[in-house]
Amino acid sequence: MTKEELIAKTIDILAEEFEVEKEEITPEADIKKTLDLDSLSLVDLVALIEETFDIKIKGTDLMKTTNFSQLYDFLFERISEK
Amino acid sequence: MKYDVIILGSGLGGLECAFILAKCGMNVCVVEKNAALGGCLQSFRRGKEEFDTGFHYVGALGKGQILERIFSHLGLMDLPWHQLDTEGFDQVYFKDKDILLENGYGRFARSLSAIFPESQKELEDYSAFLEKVGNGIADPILKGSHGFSSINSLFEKSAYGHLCQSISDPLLRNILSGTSLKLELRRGTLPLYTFAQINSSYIQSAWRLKGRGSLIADTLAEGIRKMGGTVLTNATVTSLEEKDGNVCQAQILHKGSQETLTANLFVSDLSPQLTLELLKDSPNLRPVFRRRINRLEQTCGFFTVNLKLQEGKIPYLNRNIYCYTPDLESVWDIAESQTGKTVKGVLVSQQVPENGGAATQMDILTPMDYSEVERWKDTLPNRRGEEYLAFKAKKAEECILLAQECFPGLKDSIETIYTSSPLTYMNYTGAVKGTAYGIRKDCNNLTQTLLTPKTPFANLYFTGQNLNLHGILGVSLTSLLTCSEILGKEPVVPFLE
Repeated sequence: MTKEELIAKTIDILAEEFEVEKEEITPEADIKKTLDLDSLSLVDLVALIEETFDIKIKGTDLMKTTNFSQLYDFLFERISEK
Repeated sequence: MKYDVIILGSGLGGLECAFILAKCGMNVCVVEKNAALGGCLQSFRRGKEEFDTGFHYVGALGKGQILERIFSHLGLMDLPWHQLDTEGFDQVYFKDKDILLENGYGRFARSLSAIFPESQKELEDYSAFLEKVGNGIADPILKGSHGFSSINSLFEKSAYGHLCQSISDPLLRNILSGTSLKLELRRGTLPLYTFAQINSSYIQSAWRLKGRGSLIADTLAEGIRKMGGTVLTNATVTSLEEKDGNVCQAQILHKGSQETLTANLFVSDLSPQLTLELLKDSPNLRPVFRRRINRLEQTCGFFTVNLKLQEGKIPYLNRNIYCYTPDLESVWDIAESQTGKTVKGVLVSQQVPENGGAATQMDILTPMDYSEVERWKDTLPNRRGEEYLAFKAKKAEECILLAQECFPGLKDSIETIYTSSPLTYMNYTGAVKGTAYGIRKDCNNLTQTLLTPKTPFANLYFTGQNLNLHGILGVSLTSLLTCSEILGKEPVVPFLE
């Protein structure tokens, strides 16, 4: 999967599952604010990413990423390690 | 009618939450779809006989032990509890071994060390570990986040891995795990916390109820009503409705007529999946939460054989028997070894006879994967067809033949045989896929599989065996946990004293 494909897939699934507009998911947008994350929905996000990309991630690692650009880098690195 | 709290489902968790909240001054209403209360605690009648659905024995009910402390506050200690033999509350038949397990951490280790002298030190350490885990059972309530972090580290460890590290003799590992048909033995997923906590509670003390498990449900319901609460039966919740981001009312079908019940808070003792189905068109429930909950796996179900015995033929044993076929290499393989094949292991439990003497009833249980009965899922109870009846008859015979290894002459001492499968369980208790122990907690994926009472709605809470620990003790602790989320820690702590 190329990074562009990963970004497109991430935006699609987040917009659908978190019910936000795709346009809101910009590289510099804050993940927590955009997806309205709390401790419960953070677990949902981890589960969704694990299922979508067939990888294992920790919520604490995910929370080190603050904007979507960092999230894409983090995911791309994890997927490349597979 | 407006209540402070509506509780969905009258399983042990629902009734306990209702009792605790009512005792703390809330106006509660329990809504149960069946005619009988109790969920997995309900008993059923066949002819003149009454049998239990999911209740067989409990641990930690001795004076000062954790379940006794909780039950005394719930008015359940006046029930006719009957202690199993302290020098042998469980008996395991595995390979050529026939071993009694004793109550008390020290005695437990010493009696096994007499049979496995090479493992004495390991057994002492294992027993001390179980005692330490048992002593910390209330920490999540008493110590808050600090208590959670200590149990989470045990939840994230594999029970099987820990056992392999701490006990070097494979036969002894099987004996120590052999009584664990009361949880789902699964190498890859079973958390150490579940295994240790449940085994620890039974080592403290083990008890049957002289009478039916439904006594627990009926006693709790009576207590709730005495405190001014309402308990409705034959009342099906058809939907939950929202206002301003909170759940505000339940539509129920009660004895044929539609009613609306309003409340400030809602506690669901139904499975999380079923709860979300009641919020089908919720604008406040994002797909991502529903998706996660619906993907959670269920633990196995059980196939149960209830026997009415001929009078005076089979002795009553004041303990539970766990019996395995000689070809089973590890009790941890039982699920894979017997799915679609012959029964490899059973738990045999007897009802305490009314007037002493010989046994009058016997329950034989064996784990059963839902896949074995899935093809009949769209049929109705008592109308599932000849093939299903033949399947059950064959399984029952295998169970009886295996139990006969421990009860000579059993086959010829039976008056009547009744059977139930995960489909029966699903039908009468609402358990998803007939699961016996609720959602499968996975030590490798704790954050997703260990649910908390909290939901995306600030005034809707989960409770019951799908959270935390299963079983009577596990559900009781979860009830306190759910109530502490609602009320704060202070009003709940006295229930542990």
